[in-house]
Amino acid sequence: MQQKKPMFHIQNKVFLYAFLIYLVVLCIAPMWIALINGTRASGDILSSPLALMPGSALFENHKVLIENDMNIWHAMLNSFKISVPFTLISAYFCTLAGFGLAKHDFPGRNIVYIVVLATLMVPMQLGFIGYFDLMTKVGLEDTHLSLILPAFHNGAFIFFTKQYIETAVHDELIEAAIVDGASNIKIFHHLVFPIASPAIATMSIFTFVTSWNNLLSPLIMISSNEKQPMPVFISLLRDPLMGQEFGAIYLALGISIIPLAAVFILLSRFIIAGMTQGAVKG
Amino acid sequence: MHRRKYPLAFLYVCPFLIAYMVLQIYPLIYSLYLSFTDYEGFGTPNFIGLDNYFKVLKVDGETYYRGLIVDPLFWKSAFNTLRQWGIAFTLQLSSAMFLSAIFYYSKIKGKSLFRAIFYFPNFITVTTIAVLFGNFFGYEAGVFNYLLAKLHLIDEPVRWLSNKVFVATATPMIIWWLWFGQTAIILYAGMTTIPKDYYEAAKIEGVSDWQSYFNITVPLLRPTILYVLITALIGGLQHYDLAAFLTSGGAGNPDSINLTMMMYMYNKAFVGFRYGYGSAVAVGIFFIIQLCAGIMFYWYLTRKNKI
Repeated sequence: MQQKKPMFHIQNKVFLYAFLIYLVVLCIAPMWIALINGTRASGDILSSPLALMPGSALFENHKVLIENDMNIWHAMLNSFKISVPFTLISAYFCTLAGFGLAKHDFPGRNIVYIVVLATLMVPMQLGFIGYFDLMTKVGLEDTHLSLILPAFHNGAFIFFTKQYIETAVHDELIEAAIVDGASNIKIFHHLVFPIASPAIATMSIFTFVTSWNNLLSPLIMISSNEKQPMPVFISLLRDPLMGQEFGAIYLALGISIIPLAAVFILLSRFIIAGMTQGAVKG
Repeated sequence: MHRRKYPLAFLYVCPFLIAYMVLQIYPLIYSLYLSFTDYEGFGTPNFIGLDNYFKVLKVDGETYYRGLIVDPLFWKSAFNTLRQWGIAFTLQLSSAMFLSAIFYYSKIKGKSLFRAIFYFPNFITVTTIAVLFGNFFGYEAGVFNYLLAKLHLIDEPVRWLSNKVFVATATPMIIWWLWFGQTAIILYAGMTTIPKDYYEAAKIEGVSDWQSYFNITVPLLRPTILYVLITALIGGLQHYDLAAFLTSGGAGNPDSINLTMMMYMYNKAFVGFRYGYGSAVAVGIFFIIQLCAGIMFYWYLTRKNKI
């Protein structure tokens, strides 16, 4: 048999590594610069915006933020107040719907399934004006609740858990539980939910991060500054009021990166596995 | 697989169904209705028919009112959005094809670590990325000016964010940077589902890696590419965060070069309080997205077995 040339030769490997490492730098450097500059004085950043070592102005930068009425910790707390309930509601109710679709035949099942698929294709932001109007009419304007309620119709969560439950929860297990006299909802709580927990965990991470990063919804729904979550807070840094306070701006950007970077570093294995499953099955 | 007959399971999907109908379908339909009115946020909406779409009001030769179809700013925002998305997606797909081939064919170490790091930018709040790059390209204390000066490419700092061509180039580059890792991971996952037998058969026939890549991998990857294309399209045409906050002002300045469709809708409805007209813009966006997705599907279905 003749020897075929492989796509990437051994001698090319050096270039390959160099290229990949170049991309690694490209992916990390911007966030790294934000973290470093957040600890440097604005004057130092003005004279040289790039530095390898952190500075000593961390607390001064923090003071500038607070003095400018930019309490980032408050914004972060608001983000938690929105994203945590959002994720919990999706995790419970959308898994329940996923279970309903995966293991049961009921009148209208196929239509409901088509509706779930439709949620994935219809751009949800286009109903914003109507949603804003609805929330105003029922007195929920300027509340975190108006940002949490859409957690109930998280179509991607339903789709993903449905696919998972179909293959991971065996029918024999459910039948055995029925023979033992367990009610269907008990089967969900004690059998299906634990077995589906890897899928629920993966989707919960994505749901949490998507909710955390959402800018446009709070921009539209929330009018009081003290209720704004992180993305809106960050967008205010673009305001000329912050002017020359480069250190404080970078500090705020750095603080907004840290929680997401932490989640990513701790859970990246889960996240990437989940993403590829969704794509291949979808 | 067997689905047990259990009518009460309908209750399990009720929270979803009710929420979807009340919080999504009703607002969509109500937005459609508002697009036929002159609603400005108070009082009752007056029905004005298709005026938001087609009316042109001229007084003494000056145009006072333009319906969506003749609104140059709406079409500009549509063109901007498609341009940004088109450039970003072309770069994103080609670099991801290349990277996924590296991950699949080469025997380098640390592949999963590389994949994770390339995905990392996608995880960070886009608003943070927008403000961060806005600072990098800043006139004072801008990292970009600093680097160019160090390399002796410029003598004086440049106001990059006031330069139309620069902003129009930088925005899709940042979108590429946000998404190339995600796309590479999905394409790689698609590649791993292609049966190994195909490649072994090709190898026995004396086919090189590059040939098998173009003749086996790429054609069989078409469903995955379509998935990436459609999801990127639906997300990309609703793009707002980066374009709005890379430059200050939230209007896609300079000269509306970064004005996207969503930004136009937001500014009309929630800054200018023209809810009726903003709703017409939303309807316009809806049709443009559906049209583009339709073209993609048509392209996909009519060019079977070709890339």
